[in-house]
Amino acid sequence: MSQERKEPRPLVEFDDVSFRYFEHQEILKDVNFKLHRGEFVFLTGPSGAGKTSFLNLMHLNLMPTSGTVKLFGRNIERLTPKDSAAARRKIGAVFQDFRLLPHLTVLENIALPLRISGKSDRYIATHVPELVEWVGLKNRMQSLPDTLSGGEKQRVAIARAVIGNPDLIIADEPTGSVDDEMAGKLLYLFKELNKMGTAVIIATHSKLLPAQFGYPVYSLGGGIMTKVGA
Amino acid sequence: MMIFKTDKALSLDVSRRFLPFMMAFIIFISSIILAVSGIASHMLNALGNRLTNDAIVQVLPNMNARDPRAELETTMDRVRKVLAADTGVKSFKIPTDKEEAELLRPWLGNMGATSLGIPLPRIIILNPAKNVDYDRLSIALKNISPMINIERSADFSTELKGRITSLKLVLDLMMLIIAAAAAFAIIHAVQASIVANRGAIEILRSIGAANYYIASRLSNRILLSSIAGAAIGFALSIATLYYLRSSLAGTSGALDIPTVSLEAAFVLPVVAAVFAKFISFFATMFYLRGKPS
Ligand SMILES: Nc1ncnc2c1ncn2[C@@H]1O[C@H](COP(=O)(O)OP(=O)(O)OP(=O)(O)O)[C@@H](O)[C@H]1O
Ligand SMILES: [Mg+2]
Repeated sequence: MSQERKEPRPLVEFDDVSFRYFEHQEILKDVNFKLHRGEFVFLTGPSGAGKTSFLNLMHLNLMPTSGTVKLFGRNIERLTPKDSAAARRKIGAVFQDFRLLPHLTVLENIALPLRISGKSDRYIATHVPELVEWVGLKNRMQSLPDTLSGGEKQRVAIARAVIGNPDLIIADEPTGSVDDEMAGKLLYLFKELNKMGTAVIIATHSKLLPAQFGYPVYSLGGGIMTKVGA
Repeated sequence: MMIFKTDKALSLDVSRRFLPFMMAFIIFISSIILAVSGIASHMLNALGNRLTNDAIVQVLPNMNARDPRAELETTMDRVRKVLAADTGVKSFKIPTDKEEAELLRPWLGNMGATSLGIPLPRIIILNPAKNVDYDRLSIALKNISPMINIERSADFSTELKGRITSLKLVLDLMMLIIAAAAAFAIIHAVQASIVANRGAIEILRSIGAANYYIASRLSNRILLSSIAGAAIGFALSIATLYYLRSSLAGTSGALDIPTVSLEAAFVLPVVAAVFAKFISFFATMFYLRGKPS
């Protein structure tokens, strides 16, 4: 029907999405947003603006109050639990609160996505230590998360997000606890994956970080999303 | 082996403390029940094979008679005639004194009955025809003397069979109850593990673990606990069954008790472990079902 050239299917698509927590004021108001394969975008906004909530919709942790969210082309409200699990296996997520398993070592925490997708012990034994070394935790491989600093935990979370070579990376404040040099190094991981086609969305309240890259920047404020730079 | 592949993600295994012992206990109890039930079945079979229509005529001496011995002989003559005339009796056999003494030895011992100076009751073993009518024969014999009885082996067997059948029924019911109790214990263990590992389960799900994955990991943990229990259960039951076997060996006589089978000790631990794995897998799937992911 459409005369326009058909654009490729977005990985993530928000259509007039509004969202609010139970009895709360609206955090998102009629938000429209698309993220395609190979894109790299930043999401900024002051604390409490709704960045984490926005990412949680994308990661199937929340459902929109109105409008539709599509992930990998499918309305997230129609996914079965099995479909949701499969979709999440194609996403690498860095949570603001890290969400590491406290009784697993650094190595095992990072290996978890590979175990879940059924990779062999041998594959794990060769691929995980390499990445652990890259994020500078070679000496902490056998440590438990509780013995790590905030920045070290963050690096474990990032390594876990990228280990499975996901189609989409959702990172919530992924460099908030590390110094600038480490931040650059970690973002390099995202950039490398992005070059191979992985779409990346990074939420941050830092204004400096997006400025260093020149990727598109979306801003959330008062429930409205605007594209501010590119 | 895939089935033993557990990772440590769900390691808060609250069942580890009680499940092995419960498993061991269940295996121990059920192996004994099964062994006894096996003996019962064997006896039922044996009785079934032996369920013939034969009977024994007992002629008791009348101790009030002036000469009990002479009177017993007269009675015996008349009984012989009645039996010979009855078309329902193909043949009959009167054991000699020696044979009879042998038959009575379990009750009277080696001293023999004759030394007591009283006449022994006489027994006649009947070989009945198909059309035998024991009721009619009994009346005919009672007419000779009220001290004559017919003991039908079928009556005895039927009664014994009835008792053994109800014993077996009780044993089978116990097995069912034990299996149900085991299932409940495992389901409880699963529930407790899900609660204890709630945080880990949430994280696993957020990185894409399906319920199937969580259920197979959790049930592998339960399987490991069960295998530990099965090992203890095996040791206990093999020892007990072996003891039972040797203490019952050589039992002979009317109830021929077969050798106690040790099979249960080998089979039950395996069955119990597989049972635990399946119950815990499906229980986990059930508890996680439809939860918002
Ligand atoms: N589970 C919840 N229930 C109710 N309100 C919530 C819940 N989570 C967040 N909020 C509220 O929703 C608003 C948006 O929160 P959100 O975490 O999305 O903000 P954010 O932009 O990620 O903030 P920050 O930069 O501090 O991480 C805040 O006002 C917060 O208090
Ligand atoms: Mg946030």
